[in-house]
Amino acid sequence: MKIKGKEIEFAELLKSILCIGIGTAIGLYAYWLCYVHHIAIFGFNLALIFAPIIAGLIETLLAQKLLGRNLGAISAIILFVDTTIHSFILRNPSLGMNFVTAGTLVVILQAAFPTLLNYIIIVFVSASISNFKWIRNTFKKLFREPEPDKPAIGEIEEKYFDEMKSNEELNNLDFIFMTSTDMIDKKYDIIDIFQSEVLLGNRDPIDVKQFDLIENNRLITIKEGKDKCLIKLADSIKENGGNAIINLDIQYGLVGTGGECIRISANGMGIYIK
Amino acid sequence: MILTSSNTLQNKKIIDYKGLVTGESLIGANIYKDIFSGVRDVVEGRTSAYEEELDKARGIAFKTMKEKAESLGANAIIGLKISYDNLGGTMGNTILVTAYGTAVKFE
Repeated sequence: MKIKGKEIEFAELLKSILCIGIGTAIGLYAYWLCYVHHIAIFGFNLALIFAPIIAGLIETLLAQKLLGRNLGAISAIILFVDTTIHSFILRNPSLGMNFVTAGTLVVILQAAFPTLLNYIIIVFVSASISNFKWIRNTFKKLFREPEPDKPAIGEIEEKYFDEMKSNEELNNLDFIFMTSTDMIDKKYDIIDIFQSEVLLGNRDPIDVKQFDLIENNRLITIKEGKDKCLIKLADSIKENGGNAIINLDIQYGLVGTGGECIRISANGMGIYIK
Repeated sequence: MILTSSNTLQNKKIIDYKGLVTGESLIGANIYKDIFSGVRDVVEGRTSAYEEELDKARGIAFKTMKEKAESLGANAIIGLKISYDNLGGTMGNTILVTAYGTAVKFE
């Protein structure tokens, strides 16, 4: 039998098909396992990466044993098409044709017609970059201007915080903080509801080696912020003639679309204990 | 040390309000932990690694709070509140665990 001008024995062809078939089957099984057990990171199923790799690997290993040469990982391409159609089109019809699907299709086509498609892509990309100003400007922004407010990473100083001392100071303000809603055994006048807020920066440097240190400093910043917030609250109640707060509530949250600030807020009922 | 989230202590008389005691701790961004919790426990879909971390963090917060109460001379904490807040962070997985209450002395 002749394929592409080369003489190929029928037995060899059968062996090739067997290799591709087994590779594809194992790849599909791997995909099914990942899919059923939701083996995913941040919602991205790992099968999309591993199933084609496993299929190609098994096929190549088999082909090297049976035929003594590679077949070009055809089962990997089959798996790629299968997983893409199943996960991006059948399971998620709302996704439909989007950037990811288009990109995947380009990769698949590139595997099938490498030279032609690479020419098209090179022509398309270079033409777009040279013709469209906004693309050029975006590239310039991306690669030339460094982000101004990114903290520089160097040796980070370790902060120190005396828990007991701050607690003592907080409770020696001639002011009583109460988290409970009532003081049954004491007589008091209710003044008003009071609240105070403190905002802290939430832009920590990214440094894998100093994670623990960064975290420790972060916690200390939060503790200091909380103290500041409570002292502010106490001051505002004292100004209004109170000497205690009941039903105190402390809340922590993020402010800004990217969580640029940590918000610490405290609120409660200001009272005057007779 | 008695811990309660209610306003009073049943059958006990509070003789002194000592003030606010707080305890905080962070579960931080740990790349390795994040990856392993991403590959979720296959059986129940729970991330036991994170559960243990939360337990540990709450333990630290409670311990700090109790130590502070003891140093103020209190023997109970009333009006106890616990909260868990996500603080984003470098890996998007920093959780702040806070516990606070009113330190009191009872007879």
